[in-house]
Amino acid sequence: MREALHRLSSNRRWRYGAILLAVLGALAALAPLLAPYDPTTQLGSARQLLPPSATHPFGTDMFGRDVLSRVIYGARISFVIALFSVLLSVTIGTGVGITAGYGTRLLDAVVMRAVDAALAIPRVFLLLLVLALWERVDVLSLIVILGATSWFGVSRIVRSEVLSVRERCYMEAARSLGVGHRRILLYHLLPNVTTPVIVAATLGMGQIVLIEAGLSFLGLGIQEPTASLGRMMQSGSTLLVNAPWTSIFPGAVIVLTVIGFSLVGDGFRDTLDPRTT
Amino acid sequence: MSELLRVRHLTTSFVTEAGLARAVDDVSMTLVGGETLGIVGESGCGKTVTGLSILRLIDRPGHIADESVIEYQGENLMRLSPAQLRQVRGAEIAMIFQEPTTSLNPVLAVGSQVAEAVRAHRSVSRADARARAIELFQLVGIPDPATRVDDYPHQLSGGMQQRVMIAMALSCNPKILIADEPTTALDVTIQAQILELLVDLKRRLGMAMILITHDLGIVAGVADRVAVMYGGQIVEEADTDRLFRQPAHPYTSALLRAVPRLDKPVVRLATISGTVPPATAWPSACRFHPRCPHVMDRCRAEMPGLAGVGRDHLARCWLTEEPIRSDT
Repeated sequence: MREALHRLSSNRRWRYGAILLAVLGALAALAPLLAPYDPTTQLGSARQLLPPSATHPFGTDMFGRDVLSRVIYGARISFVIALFSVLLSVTIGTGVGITAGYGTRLLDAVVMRAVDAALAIPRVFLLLLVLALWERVDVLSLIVILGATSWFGVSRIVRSEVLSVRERCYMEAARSLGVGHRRILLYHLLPNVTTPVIVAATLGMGQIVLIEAGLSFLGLGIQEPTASLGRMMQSGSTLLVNAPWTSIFPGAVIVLTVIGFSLVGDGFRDTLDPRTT
Repeated sequence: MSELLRVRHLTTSFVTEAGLARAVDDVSMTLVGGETLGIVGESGCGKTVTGLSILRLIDRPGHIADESVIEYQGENLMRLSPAQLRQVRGAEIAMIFQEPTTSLNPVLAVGSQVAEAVRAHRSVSRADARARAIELFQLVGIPDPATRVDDYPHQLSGGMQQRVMIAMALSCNPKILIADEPTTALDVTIQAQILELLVDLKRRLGMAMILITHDLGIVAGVADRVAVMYGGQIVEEADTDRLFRQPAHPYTSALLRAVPRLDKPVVRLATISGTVPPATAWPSACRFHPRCPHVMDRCRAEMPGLAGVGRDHLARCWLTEEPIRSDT
């Protein structure tokens, strides 16, 4: 464990990504302490669309709300959604993948063809379809919807890993010692798929941040007045020339978050696999 | 001693693209408590599949014929449910494999894997299982066992890995140990150590052992009795001494001639011409006839049975029925 941490921290990409995410994560986690203003309070007509200044480092939006505070709270929601929907998708994906890979060929064929079919539908289209069924979208339902539609890739990764691991000699050795299926699954198989799952989960977090921002940009995600990065970019887009700060700062946070997750995910991939070191 | 394992008419076949492969064909053998039975033969003659079949570790596309009998202490393993079978595997009959490197899970600490083998059969706490793992490491001669248990397989040498495998196999005091080429993947010096360890453990723990190998030297030093396999069948079976002194089957004689000897000047080592035919296409009648130096017409027409040629000595060859072959 300590050795793995050491290898990780000597991977430059992982280190930069981790620092980036640590800063953004701390902002999100400590939002109530760090945000100078309440993100939804309108500070009056005199404070509308103020450019960045000492009192409002990121300026204010057209309703006179502090952009810095809204960016911090928006990042908080993005992180929460990404974290929990990825947890959900990884759990479902790992479960389905292990079942398909370890189960009978028929089960495998049925499950994986269904996954193929689901993967054939473009993700955004699938989300629009599902979201159209919801009347009100709150954070929880967004987490469920995003999580439930993004496990297909994980299940394929896990299944292929299980298919290769189940043929290894140590699986036969375990069976020759009378180890049951449940213990083989939990003890021998699961640890073998953790590395690809961790990589997929990390990269998936970045994707979810992007998708959530995209949905909110389209007006389908988080609703006003709750602060959301995608929503802020959308409302700022009409003011791009006159008040660029209202969309540039939320956009920059999205970009930094996605870059952070990509760097950390790549770093995990490069260093975590015990078989390549 | 009493009969521990009685195998009768064991037949294991695999469905392959080239057709049905009868990898093990009507094999019968008996193992009594405390003895070591060596199974020898070239690659592809069914030794390993025999070992796996005894524990019923044969998966699709493989199949053990229903009429096969694998009796352990009077109980036919062929009739057991998967759950009952798991009670036998590891606890009564355990197996070690050829490649220690691939037989250990690379992502788990070795001590944890041994502890897991203990916990497969006994409901003991994690701490007790770990203590048992350390004890087992000591038993199989791993130095500094309390530290080594936390190592990962790649941190150990091949010899140490095989010791770990032996520790796993012995974790529940099995009465039979099936060792499938336990030293083949190791250096010569380490081979001797592992063999010595196996013999020593076998005696101390009162186990019986089935030693599968292609190395007659190993068999000569370790086994009480030897079964020679060719083409999925047992072609000769005898006490080790007798087999080495008076081999009755031409295949056994040929194998013995192919062993390098230190006590005679080496001119050129004898070989057996040709290779073992694939299991999908065993030759008709006697399976050794295409490679046999003494082949007769009868060998091409009829399969010889496994017949007694002396005290506790069986051979599958027509020659044994025709002692005065110079006349023919």
